Amino acid sequence: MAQVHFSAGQRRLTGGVAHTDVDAATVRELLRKLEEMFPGIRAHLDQTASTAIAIDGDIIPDPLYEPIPADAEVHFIAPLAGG
Amino acid sequence: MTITDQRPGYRYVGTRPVRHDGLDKVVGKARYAADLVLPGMLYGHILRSPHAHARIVAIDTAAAEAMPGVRAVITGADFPELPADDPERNTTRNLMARDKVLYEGHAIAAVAATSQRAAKAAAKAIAVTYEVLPHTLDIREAMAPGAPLLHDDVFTTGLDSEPSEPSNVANRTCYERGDIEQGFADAAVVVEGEFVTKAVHQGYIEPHACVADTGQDGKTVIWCSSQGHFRVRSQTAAMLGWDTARIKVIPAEIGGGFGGKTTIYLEPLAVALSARAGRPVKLVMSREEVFRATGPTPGSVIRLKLGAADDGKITAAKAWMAYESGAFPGPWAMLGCMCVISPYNVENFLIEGYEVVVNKPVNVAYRAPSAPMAAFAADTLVDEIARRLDMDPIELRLLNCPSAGDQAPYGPKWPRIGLRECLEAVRDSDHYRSEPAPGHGRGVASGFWFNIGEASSATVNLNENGTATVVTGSPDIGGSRASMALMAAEELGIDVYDIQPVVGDTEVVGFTDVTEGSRATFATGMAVVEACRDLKRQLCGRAAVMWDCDSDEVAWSDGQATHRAGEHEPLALAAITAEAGRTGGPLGATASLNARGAGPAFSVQVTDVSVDEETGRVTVERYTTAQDAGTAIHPDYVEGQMQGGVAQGIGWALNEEYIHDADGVMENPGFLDYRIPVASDLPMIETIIVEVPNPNHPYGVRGVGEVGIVPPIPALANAVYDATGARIRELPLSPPRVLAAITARNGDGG
Repeated sequence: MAQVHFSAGQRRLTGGVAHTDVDAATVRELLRKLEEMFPGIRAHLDQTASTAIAIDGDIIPDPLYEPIPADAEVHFIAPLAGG
Repeated sequence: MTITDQRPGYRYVGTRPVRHDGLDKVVGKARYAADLVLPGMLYGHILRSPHAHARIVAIDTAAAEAMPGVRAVITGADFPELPADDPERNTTRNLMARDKVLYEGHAIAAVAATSQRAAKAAAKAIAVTYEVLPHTLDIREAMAPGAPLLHDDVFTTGLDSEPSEPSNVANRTCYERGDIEQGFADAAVVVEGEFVTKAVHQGYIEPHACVADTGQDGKTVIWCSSQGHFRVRSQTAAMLGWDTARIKVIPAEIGGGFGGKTTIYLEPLAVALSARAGRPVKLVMSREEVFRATGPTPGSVIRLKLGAADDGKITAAKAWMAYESGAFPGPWAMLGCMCVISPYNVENFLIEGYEVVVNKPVNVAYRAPSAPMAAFAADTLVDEIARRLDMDPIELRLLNCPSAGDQAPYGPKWPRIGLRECLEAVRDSDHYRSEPAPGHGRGVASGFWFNIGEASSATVNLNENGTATVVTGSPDIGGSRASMALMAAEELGIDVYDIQPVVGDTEVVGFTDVTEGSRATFATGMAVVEACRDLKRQLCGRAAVMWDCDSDEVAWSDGQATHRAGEHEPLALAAITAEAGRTGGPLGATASLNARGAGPAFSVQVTDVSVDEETGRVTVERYTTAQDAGTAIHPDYVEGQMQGGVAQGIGWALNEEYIHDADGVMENPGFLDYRIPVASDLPMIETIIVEVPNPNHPYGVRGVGEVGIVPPIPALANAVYDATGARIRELPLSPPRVLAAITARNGDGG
């Protein structure tokens, strides 16, 4: 089960839930299951312009098909830019 | 000086060969986009808004089109309007205004003519009717009720409830952990303050320039200066409504970018003009245009409060952070929120960020974007805590230093990082161990930047004489040709000067993301290493053919194929390539990847300053910077990046700012009035390369281009306080501001 964490700003989409466990093999499956748990959240999280994902600390900018290892720690974070 | 955690015995990595492109640059042979002249080429000129905010009532180009030598005139009406959800919509509206101009310098129309003078005269003849609107340049003013509204379709996202009215606040972001009230209740010391920074420009020496040549087949070739020619291709295609296959982008040499050339300004305009005129068109910005129309980094207002226990442990942090984004929304406040307390382990915090549009050019990345402003607030207050507790500022930072497994404020756990090693390196440096000269003040600060991976491609071809060509898609903005050649030399076991590193155009190398986030040596280097390792497998196979044995019997070692059982004399790479035609054909390999595992970067810096109490002038007397490079592939260019970041940070801290008049017109769009530091303003910047290898890169690279600009602002502000007793929380620390602070400290009112 992946441990999925939400920032304070994202918790308005989860009814205040800060983290939850989800059984998902890929980010796509994770987003689908999160949408079932928190209707409307996918529209926010599925936009590469507004959200990246960190899986076990590795920040992935465009992660839709990314596999999620068992017991991974997942954070939805802002997409990074650089100079 | 280099401090190394652990390093294998490399033969080429870590050495300092003369860069392959060095001679051309020294003797003036390197070709920049503005140098290019094509047969029949026209010269373009852009008409820009004189107003900070105005509705475009009408544009009449008839007179301009009738002028001698004019071959094409275009306006926003010549470009398709992208859907509201298209990620490039704002880019296109920035490149050419549509219904409104949103800042002074916003492009309105462009002309191509047979001479620069004719183009300029024709642009002046374009009649634009404006309805001038109230403008807003200040974050706090733009956030206030009743402020002039830039966009009627921007509604604040990230709020608890959906807003019903449009706003200049594009986004609210929030990070929170622990119990902030308890955290402050546990504090023995609480410090707080409001910190203000101004918009500053990246200040690259080479203005934006491009040449576009559009053929009758509907295809175009663009020569331009950028940090990523594949992004130039995609953004140009989006603005024109073209398929990317119609566009080829050839990277010219780049004369500095620092984040400012991660987006486009000229290319679609040049293509459109060229297509209309049927001739090549060159567009070159003046320095004034660079200031008025290209992206500075945001100004900011940050309110920060920190609490610490009497042993120095930080117990709580509360931040309110507002960043300008210029004329269109950006990600800058979000990034600031993620960086502000990252060099510290804080269990209880609340960080809020606000993205605010104002009537200034659209903000663009500048080395570790948003982090320097955040560090100004955090590391100034950490300095105040150290003073209140009578602690050494580095020991205080070591006490609060995160390490692998700790949770970063923005969520994930830290991987192996080198902040502690950087702090210890500065603490143990000659600079820090010596007392400041009498009258000098000393300041310390730390800084964090993420670094990123993204997509890169590389092709490595072996020539028949045993030399190699390494082609990548990353423009060389900081010595990346040399670092690619060094990694290839290390892999293949051939001399670094037997490798020719080449920056390939969009048709000769695989897709490569823009050079940003300190990613080129990390990610593109990873692709080079992967291609070389593929080549080594091929070389072993060819040796097996020559020896008439199974390829499993062959290993690659130190630049040659060796027979594991020792039945054959080793074959050097050149001996194998010489026979390549007989053993299967040319030898080459390509690797494309999405690089993962970028290693976070930290820097710690100490500076000594003197302050002239009669004029307020700050002189930087000594400066030392330590930075975790992971592994320094070419130490000269790592040190160059470290020194460059510090130099730009010193300019940001002491002198640089956009100054506008009451009408929102920039008053200092040139290097005489917008003062970047020159060599005589700076001491020798001493460097300490710390090497805590990134375990996710074959040579341990982290990326070094950005984090060096994060600590200078607070380091200098802390040093000015140490020298004068005047705590200044607004940039720049220019003579008038420092003098005013000294006067206020003296309490003499004058």
